[in-house]
Amino acid sequence: MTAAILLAVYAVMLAEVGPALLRRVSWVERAPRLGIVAWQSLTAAVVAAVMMAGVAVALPATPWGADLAHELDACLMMLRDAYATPLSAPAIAASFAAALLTCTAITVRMIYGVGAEVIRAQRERRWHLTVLRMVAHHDERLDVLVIDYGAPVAYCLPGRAGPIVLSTSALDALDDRRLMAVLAHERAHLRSHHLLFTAVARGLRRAFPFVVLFRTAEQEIDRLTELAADDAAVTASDRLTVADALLTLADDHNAPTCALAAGSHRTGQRVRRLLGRTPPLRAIVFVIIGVLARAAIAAPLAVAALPGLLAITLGCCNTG
Amino acid sequence: MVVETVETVETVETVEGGVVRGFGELEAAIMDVMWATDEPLTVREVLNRLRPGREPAFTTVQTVMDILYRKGWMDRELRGRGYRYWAKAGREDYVAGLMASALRASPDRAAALARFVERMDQAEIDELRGALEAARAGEPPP
Repeated sequence: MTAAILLAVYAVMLAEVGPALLRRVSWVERAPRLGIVAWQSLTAAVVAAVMMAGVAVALPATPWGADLAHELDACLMMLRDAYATPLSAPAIAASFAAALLTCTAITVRMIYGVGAEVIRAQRERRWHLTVLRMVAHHDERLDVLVIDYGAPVAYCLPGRAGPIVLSTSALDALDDRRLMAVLAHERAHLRSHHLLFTAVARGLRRAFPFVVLFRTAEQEIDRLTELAADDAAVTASDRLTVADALLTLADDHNAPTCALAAGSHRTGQRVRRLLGRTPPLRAIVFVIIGVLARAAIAAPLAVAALPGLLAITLGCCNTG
Repeated sequence: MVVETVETVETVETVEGGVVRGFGELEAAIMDVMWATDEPLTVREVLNRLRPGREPAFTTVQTVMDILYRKGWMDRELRGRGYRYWAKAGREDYVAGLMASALRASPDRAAALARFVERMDQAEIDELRGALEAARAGEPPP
């Protein structure tokens, strides 16, 4: 039970403090890919802590932890004792049931939320592809689908093969260099599975809309995947060309002004970031953040496993 | 009923310029023919308007048009000895549908898509264009 309480506290603490902290740091702008990893790790750590809390409660409470242990194996009994707390039997049973129910409910909701979102994204992709097959034509030279449309539009569908879709108006507006920058950006999305990342983050947020961490993680992963793809485009061309391409495609004279997207400031931020010179992150910072991210996930697993490991190392589990 | 357009003629040529392979591409080629005309067409008429010289067999076109009807892309009516077909909605209706889903605004976009940019305020674009020119002047071209 101690392990379960520790894990619950850890989960709540990370979920409360983590987002505020990670939002304030400036290195994510300089290393967006590392930023994505950091947000994913923070989310995964909280998820793992909740699940492990469930395991820590369930292990001693399950039949094979309690009754069977007496009959079958002294080892399992030791395991049970290692996790259990010396309380009166009904009180233990009640708290176990409550904790177990909570953890199970959270886990099920989580899996359902993410699963539903991924399926929804796939369904939309399939519908989009069906219509594209009829109305778009394939540009062999660029390996993109082109649709006749009056506004400059560029996007890609999820999946390793994309496709990348450009409107005729976008093709007209971009010269070759800027076009290459746009394609490099979209290919980076496809190569790095960015759309899967955002779908999972969105699924978590939809499953638990009141959890600030999931809400912030979704927004940040969304933003950072764009920055990461911009960086890939910079490698393929140069900073100013990517900035130019962004401005060119954002400049849509036909668009009604009322339809301005909520995320419209973001493109401006991306352009400013490209115009200013951002020094790359020092290697040591990379390593430290990488280690911290892994430790955040490993910690709940370790806490959950500790009582069991202790029982084993104390030599009480010689079943062989 | 049929919504029609002038621009589609160009696209028909593009598709006809390629080789029509498989049902998928034949479906697209047939829809292009339907979108390029105002009047309901028979299977024979569609076949004649497909790329000359490489047209598929009559029965193939008939089968594919039946598939398109069942999939909801076309409507048809029995006239005389055969069906006449027409597109249920214009090409630009479908494009508009795609765009509506592609342009749906972040942060709650339908999100199966990754858009290159969000739309921007014109004043901000002008300001950033200026900053871009200044940056260009400040450093030698790569």
